[in-house]
Amino acid sequence: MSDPVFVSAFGHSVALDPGPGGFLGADSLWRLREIYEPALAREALPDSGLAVDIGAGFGAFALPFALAFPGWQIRCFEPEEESYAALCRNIDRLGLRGRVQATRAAIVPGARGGRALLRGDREKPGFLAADLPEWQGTGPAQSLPALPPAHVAALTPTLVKFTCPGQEAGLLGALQAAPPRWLIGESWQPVPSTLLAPETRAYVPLAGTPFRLQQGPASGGLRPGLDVVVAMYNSAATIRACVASTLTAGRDDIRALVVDDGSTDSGAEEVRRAFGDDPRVVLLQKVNGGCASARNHGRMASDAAHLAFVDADDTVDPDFFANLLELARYSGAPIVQGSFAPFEDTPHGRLFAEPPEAAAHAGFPRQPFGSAQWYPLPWEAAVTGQPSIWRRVYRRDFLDARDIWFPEHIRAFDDLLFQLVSCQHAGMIPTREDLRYHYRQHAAQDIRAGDERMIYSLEMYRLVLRRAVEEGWPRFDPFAVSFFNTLHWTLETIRPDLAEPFLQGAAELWVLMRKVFGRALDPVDRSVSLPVAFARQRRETEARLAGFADSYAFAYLDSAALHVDMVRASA
Amino acid sequence: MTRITAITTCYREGPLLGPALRSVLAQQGPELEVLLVADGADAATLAEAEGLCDPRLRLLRQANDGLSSARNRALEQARGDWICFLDADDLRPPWALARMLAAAGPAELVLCPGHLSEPDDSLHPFYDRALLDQLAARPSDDPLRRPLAQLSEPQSANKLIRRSLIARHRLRFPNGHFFEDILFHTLAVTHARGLAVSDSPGFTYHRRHGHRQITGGADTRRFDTLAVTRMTLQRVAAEARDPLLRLSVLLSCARLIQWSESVIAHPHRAAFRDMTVAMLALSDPIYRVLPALPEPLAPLAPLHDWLSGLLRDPRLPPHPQEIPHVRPGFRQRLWPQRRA
Repeated sequence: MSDPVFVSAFGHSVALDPGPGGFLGADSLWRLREIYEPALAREALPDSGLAVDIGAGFGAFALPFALAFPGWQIRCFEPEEESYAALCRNIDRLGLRGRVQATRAAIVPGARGGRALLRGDREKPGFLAADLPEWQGTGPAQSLPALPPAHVAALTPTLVKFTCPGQEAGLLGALQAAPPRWLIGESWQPVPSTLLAPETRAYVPLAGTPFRLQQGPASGGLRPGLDVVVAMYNSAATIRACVASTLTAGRDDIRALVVDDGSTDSGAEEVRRAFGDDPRVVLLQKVNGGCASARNHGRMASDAAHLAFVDADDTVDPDFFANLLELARYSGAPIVQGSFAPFEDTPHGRLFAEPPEAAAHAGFPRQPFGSAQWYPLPWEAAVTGQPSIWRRVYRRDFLDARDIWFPEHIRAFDDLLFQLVSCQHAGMIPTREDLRYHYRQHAAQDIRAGDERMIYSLEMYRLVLRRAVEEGWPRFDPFAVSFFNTLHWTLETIRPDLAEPFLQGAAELWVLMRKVFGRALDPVDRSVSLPVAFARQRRETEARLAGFADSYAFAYLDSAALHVDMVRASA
Repeated sequence: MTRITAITTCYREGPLLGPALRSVLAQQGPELEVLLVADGADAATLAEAEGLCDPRLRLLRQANDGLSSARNRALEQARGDWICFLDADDLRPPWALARMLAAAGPAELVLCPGHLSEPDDSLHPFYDRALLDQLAARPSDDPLRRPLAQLSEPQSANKLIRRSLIARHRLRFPNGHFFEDILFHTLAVTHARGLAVSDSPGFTYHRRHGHRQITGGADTRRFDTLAVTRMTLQRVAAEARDPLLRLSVLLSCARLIQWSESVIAHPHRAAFRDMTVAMLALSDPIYRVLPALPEPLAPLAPLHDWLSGLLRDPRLPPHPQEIPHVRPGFRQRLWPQRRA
């Protein structure tokens, strides 16, 4: 017998014989403290039940659990000979034979004849493989007794704790036949979240990542799944391809909500013809109110835990949303996103431009998520980047709790405000570069029209300024960076006669921003590269306010120059 | 004979209340009474409470008068030897109270570690795990035990308090105020004869998107941190002659104030800073002498520096025993990132 280790969990302390595996023993204790105990500390377990412990080791989980829940039966599976022997000794010494049964077996999908293979590397948790003929592993392999996951499912356990590296998907697949009420363990592969039954409470961290296997926000009575809101206005030519690309074969939890915003073309007819029989596509019709109103309408009609908003003339990579939903579920993040690639239609097909942010984001460290990679995008980078709300997946409870909506009276670039506010509150945004949203460029786009609607962006920056003051945002400089970016690209497209009033409004707003946040904004001031009308207006406004101290209350002042309807009226 | 009175107050927690209460009623071991104060609770929350049939559960109803008032009402009704609190949206594991009781010995106050459940559903040790580990590792006569306890998170789920301590020192929550815990916490830690720490996690504290705490806002309720701090400093002024205790009380209050200042809406920031200094001006002059940090508390150096800066404000009269270093013309920045 080895030196005993003292295990304290679930309100019980017990000395156990750890068997020979020093590393694996420490590993078991770590999981007990970081995973099993916190996970069960928040659950109300019934007085009796059947717990199955897969990869039980010397009993670090099963035995304190048995002591803490005396009405439960426990079945342990442990393939490794010496750990199994230590487990049996520990069961006997604690007098738990009546309630804790140990079986010397690995749980391996495809296990036949009670044999499996174990890699020879004993410094790592044992990755097992079934005794399949195509086994290509290197190093010495060892025969071990094994049982298929169906054996576990046949026990209909109440709770399953598992440590079976690499076999998690097979195990969960088999458990679909008899979903346990509780599922805890560490996973070494991202098991599809769709394998989790709705009635199962899971706490399954993904090894080496900050992620967990979960179905999504449990609160609020929302349907686990994603609604992709498609705001459609006279998009008959593109709507079919758009909707089709958002759906994923075999997934009925990813739906498209097509909001027909009073189209005058045959778009609605097109949707009915293409998807009339498809329960995953819902067509909502309303009187015309603009893109913002259509997106909000779709959100209000949705019961899904996750939301996305796409444009009716764009498409996405195959399984774009299925993959993003998985990232959203695993991370639990308020927002996750893919990348985007602008394209133009040419006689020879789509001509894609390089993803505009590839270079800027190259420095963010890539992290593995199964066979894919993701990187954490800081919110400041999202705020200063191009508005691209359509390549993201949002948690509905996050948007509701933060009261983030598309401003309905704003009839162009309404996504700018949404982008700035949602990213400010999101914190880090997990991003997958390999999933691409295809963003159509064409001459009729709002942002190329160059008319009075360009002034909407000014109004939105004032709304952001006010919100920053009221909500006590810690930084405003990223929004000032975004402001100057917007001024510069607007001046490239705005109608020449509107440039001067636009710059005057922008200069007034910049003075207000500086009166609110002071010199903290000076490092991001890019006004020197703007036309002289900006500086002229800025000097004049500053001169008029020279006698007034700075104050947050300047966020509440406004100007006709920031309102499209007033600029139109005075034209 | 009731060993423990478990107190929960509810308001608008709705379906979250049922699991919280059930987690208390399911405690293994000690004999319990559970006092639920419905503090102007809405219908959905009341329905959760009424759906529970357990003779140990007593429901007290009052028109909404605030968490402090509701907890004080329960304190007056409590019959147990020990008292504990749980928020209506949090949970206890079934072993929590038995383990705290087992750790108690002759102590009057038992603290326990806990877990934090984040909006992304990840679970972590509660914020003060490292402090509690340090506290647990020190012998019972170590002078740093009480300061470490004071610096643990000033919330109420982490303690089991002997009713005799509550009665002897009239421990109550400050009526009419949010951020009420710092006062009760300080009184309990300061006056307890004997401190113990449980080795088992005893609660899970939840942060949720859909259910934003009243104390999570950016509005003028944040000023309550100043009011409650003032009363806290008043209540332990005599005990605060002890430098280590004073240091820990000041730092735990400063942590709360600094957090509030960093999240309160910008319109209130200048006034919030002014009122912080005003609150210090109203407090016993002894609090203007901030003892140096002992080595084991070195991670709190940034907070210590911040508080030292506040205490050098020229509007504060110098303390007779020790003239602070007043830099001529120096004034605390009133509004972070602003010219003064």
